[in-house]
Amino acid sequence: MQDRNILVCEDSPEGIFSAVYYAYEQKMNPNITFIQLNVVEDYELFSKYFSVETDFEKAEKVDKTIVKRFGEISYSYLWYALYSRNEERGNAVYHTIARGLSGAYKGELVNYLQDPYVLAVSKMRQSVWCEAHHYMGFIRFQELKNKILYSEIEPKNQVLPMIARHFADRFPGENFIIKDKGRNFYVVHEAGKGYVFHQQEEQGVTITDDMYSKEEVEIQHLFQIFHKTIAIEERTNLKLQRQLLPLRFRENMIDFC
Amino acid sequence: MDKKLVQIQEKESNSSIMDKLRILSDAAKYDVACTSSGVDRRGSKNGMGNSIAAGICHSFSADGRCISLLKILMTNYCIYDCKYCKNRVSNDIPRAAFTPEEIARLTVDFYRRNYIEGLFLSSGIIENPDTTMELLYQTIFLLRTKYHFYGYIHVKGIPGADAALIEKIGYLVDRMSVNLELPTAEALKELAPNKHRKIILKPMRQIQNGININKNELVVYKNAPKFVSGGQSTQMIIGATPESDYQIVQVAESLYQKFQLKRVFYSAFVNVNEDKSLPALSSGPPLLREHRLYQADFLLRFYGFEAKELLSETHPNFNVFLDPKADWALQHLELFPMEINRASYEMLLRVPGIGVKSAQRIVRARRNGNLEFEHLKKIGVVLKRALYFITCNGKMMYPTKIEEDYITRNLLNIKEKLPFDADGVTYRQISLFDDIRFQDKLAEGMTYAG
Repeated sequence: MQDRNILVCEDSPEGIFSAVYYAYEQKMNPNITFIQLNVVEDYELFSKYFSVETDFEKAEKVDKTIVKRFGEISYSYLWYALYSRNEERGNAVYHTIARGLSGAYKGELVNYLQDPYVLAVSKMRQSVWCEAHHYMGFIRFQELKNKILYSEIEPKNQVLPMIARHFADRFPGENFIIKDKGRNFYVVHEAGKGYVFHQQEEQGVTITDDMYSKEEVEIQHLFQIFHKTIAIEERTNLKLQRQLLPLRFRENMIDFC
Repeated sequence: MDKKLVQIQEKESNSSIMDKLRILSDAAKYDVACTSSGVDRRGSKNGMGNSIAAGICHSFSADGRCISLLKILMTNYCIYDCKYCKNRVSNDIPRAAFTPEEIARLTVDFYRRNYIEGLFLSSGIIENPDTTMELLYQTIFLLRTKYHFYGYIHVKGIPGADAALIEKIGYLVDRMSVNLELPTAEALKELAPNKHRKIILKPMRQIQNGININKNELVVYKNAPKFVSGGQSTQMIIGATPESDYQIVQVAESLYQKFQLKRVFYSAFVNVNEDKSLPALSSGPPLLREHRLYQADFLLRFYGFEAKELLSETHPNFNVFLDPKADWALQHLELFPMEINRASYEMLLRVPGIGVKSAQRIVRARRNGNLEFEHLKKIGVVLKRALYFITCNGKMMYPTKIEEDYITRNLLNIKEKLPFDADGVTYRQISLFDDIRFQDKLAEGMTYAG
């Protein structure tokens, strides 16, 4: 058995791309090369470990190569996969790129679902896309005293980039903040300008009711009334409701009273 | 302005928004369509709102239906007396009316907080169709111009309203729908004495023509204003009148073909009025029937089926136990098994267990070499349903008989996932107490005993 190469890199899209660059720079054989995110807990026997530093320039080169060689669709699939919480995302992305560069496929790269790594990328993309799409609907903004719209979410995957773009397009004239609670990751949008992401080390402030604007509580109440009356009693089906709006989303929603 | 309208508005100015919202969302809840799909529109710097073609669900109500739009009536005052409708003039219920300004404010307040994707505005007939349509127009005009609201708007076309009004409003909204109400003209005559099939179809035709003319304009002038760019839809009540499924599916098919509708919605009849001319429904609204009709509707729109393939004069209703596609496949076993690596996309769509997405994935993936059963499973084909109808590289998954009884029995053993099935159990051991009437009697007996 040949020794396996394990590339240990930072857990970020740039980190993974740096590892991909490194693998090609060192002319490693993709069949025996794997990516490990962050730290190694159990070292394997017969494996060589390489620690890869994140290098933004190299990552950018990989990024450009992907869009140039595989086109926009595959490019977006790979990026969605990078935002997945799946621990195999590094490997799936790396090996899909390797498959693509080897040229052993016809048509669009991400359609080559017989390949387990391409299939994995496609599945990760699906789950990230779905979650992002869910949050586009399930996010609730609360208006604070200074008219800023504030929202908290707890997504499994890194969905804030997709969501930020959506809401920036939808509310160009609003100041809004969305916080990813689990990651302490924020997007801050300024009216008439753009938005920036912000990573905070500690838990930030928690929003309490007394920080709401004057109308906020009344409007929340109005929506709760609407939510309740719009249901047809004869068709009540809480199981279906739970299936379509899982409980994990409801914590940050004001719909239920 | 009409005297009566002014009177109503004066009376209404005293009641709170909260009461109005309660009354007018309650009155609107039987309208089915709540979709916000079909339009892609980027946001605009000078206003608020955009639209995503896939549509976005913002919440789900206790009946499991999606809440996407603020679905309300302008007013539930109505001069008509349709027997199935809660808001008919002869019902003694609380009435209310919004002003255009109130609706616009509510929409914007909800939209900013991301509760909704837009507005779905309908109305009872106040005074006459023209007055009603004019009020709807004023509301939407206000939203689009004063509030610069560019979110999704779906408005009901009021049959009998002036064509010029309908045209005017069509340029402001994303979707328009005119309710067919009931599948046939006879049923309509009986249950909705103030409505006539011809008058309903007229605005439908007008909107269809408007959309087509607009499409040509858009080819020439890219920035021409868009007319009902999300297309039009309609809805009909199922189970209030004695039509067969075959009649209903045929009506839907001709609406798709002749009126180019985007969607036809089916609404299981809920007996709110207990009118003597309406059927009593002891076991609640006919949800399974509604479900089968939606399944058939998808087969018409996305799977290339025709109504006459699914049902016929001699076989006029859908099978309770099998979905329409499986039912069709069992009647056409001569076409199966189908070779996955060679069958055309159109034929793949006809295999039970293969949907639009998996058929597309199969067609794309097989360009890069033959597919095996393990691939199909990962691609998303429901093999436990499909296995009786397909081969991969000439082999079936298990040795099975291509025989109607055998496959039917096996398909019935798989639990069908029904959206309204409260406990998730569809098939269970038959017991003495399974007879529905017997259960009623049991309940009666218990009350007597108590």
